[in-house]
Amino acid sequence: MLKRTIIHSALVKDGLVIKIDDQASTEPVKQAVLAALPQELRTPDLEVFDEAEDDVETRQFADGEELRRGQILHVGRCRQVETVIRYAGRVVQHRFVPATRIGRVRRWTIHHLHISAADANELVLQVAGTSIQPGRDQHVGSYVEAGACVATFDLVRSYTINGDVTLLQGRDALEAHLETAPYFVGEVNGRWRLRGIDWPFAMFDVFARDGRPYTLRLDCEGYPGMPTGAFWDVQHGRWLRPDQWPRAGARFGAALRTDWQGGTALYVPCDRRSIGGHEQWLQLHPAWAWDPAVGVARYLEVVWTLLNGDDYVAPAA
Amino acid sequence: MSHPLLEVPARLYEQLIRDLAASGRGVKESGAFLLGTDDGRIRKVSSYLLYETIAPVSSSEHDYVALTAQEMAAAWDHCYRVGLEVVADVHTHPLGPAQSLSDRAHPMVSVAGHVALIVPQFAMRGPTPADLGVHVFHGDGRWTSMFGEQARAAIVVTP
Repeated sequence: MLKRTIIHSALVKDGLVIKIDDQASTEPVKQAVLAALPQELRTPDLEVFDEAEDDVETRQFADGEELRRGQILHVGRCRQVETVIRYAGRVVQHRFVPATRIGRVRRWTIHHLHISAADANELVLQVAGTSIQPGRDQHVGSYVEAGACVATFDLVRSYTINGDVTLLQGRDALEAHLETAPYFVGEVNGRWRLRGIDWPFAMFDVFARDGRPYTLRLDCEGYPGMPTGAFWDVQHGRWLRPDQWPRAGARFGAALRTDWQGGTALYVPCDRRSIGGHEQWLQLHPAWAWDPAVGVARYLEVVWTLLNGDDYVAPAA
Repeated sequence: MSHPLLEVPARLYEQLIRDLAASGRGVKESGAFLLGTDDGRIRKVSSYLLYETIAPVSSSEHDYVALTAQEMAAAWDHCYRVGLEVVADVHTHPLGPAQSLSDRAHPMVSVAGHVALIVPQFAMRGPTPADLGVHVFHGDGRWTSMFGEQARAAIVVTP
């Protein structure tokens, strides 16, 4: 019986998925993996590593890993990756096996820099000299420097704000946030755009997986406190009718319920009329919690995520 | 707590205050990473890296201190090349030296013992160490703050 196997490698940026006989022994598996690589990348020194053959010493730092033999492989030239992580002038380093997941490397780093788990929430590994922040399931061996078995990362916060930004209130604070990286990154990547501000209301178009824009009307009274709002019918100047709402499956479907607050507030943790009585959401979905330092980009990111899942369905209307 | 935490040469302190004031021009916040060594007893500052230098775009776009991941990585790369640690950070406020909510929520370095200095009035009034806020991070979001005489005792300005 054939099973799907994922291949990570520095040679193939986004990885590969191949089908291999689940009874195959080591050598046929290796041949199948090498055969999946572009011809010009196949060289005799390549080796195949199974991420299930992980480093016992670092197993305590596994980040939600479910390692299954033969499920995820790594192909490369390095049996060990000298991994250097830089943080504020401190340097920690370790030799990881190439199929070690970035999530484990990150947790190992946090431990060795004596940073508490709570303080490490917003810290991510970024490949030195680039803006690449590998996901936690990527392999450290995929980020070795050319011609060497070395990978260098910086431990950084995605975005840091210090200062008396909290002095800014209302429209000034919202407009300041429209100039910050979390908002701007979404805008330049075509995820959302500002439609207009008629204080205290701000309207944004958020683009779904099929390219369809949904206008979000947010009441920003009390900003940078939490806004509240839902989808808006610009043409008719009213809340979008329930049959015009996007739909989603089991994962996000509840957040798009049209019966909540009469369709005038999204059922998400960063909406001020929805969080009341749902404080447990902050533990269940911390990434969706309102952050006054990030501001409106947080709400937009949540809505964009809802509209861009595999289970997104456009309205029939 | 009133024992010395930071040791800063007088010339460096004076130049830092001048640079912070010039960077903010009395109308916006400015800041810097203070670089040096930490022997476990006291943190000795030997140079600094202005946010305006490593984060020119963010510094020009905002009236407050903001660093993207790339800008923070640029600072870490600088530290790596010169072989110095971030022993403290400093930024200015328009008014007093107390921490804002974002200051408390976002330590520049999330390691217990990190020191964050806040300079009042955009550093425009020749502040001495006694005018600064000295904020020590203890991990898990906890801070201790010192002002006035305690701040003066925490920052040793050497000849």
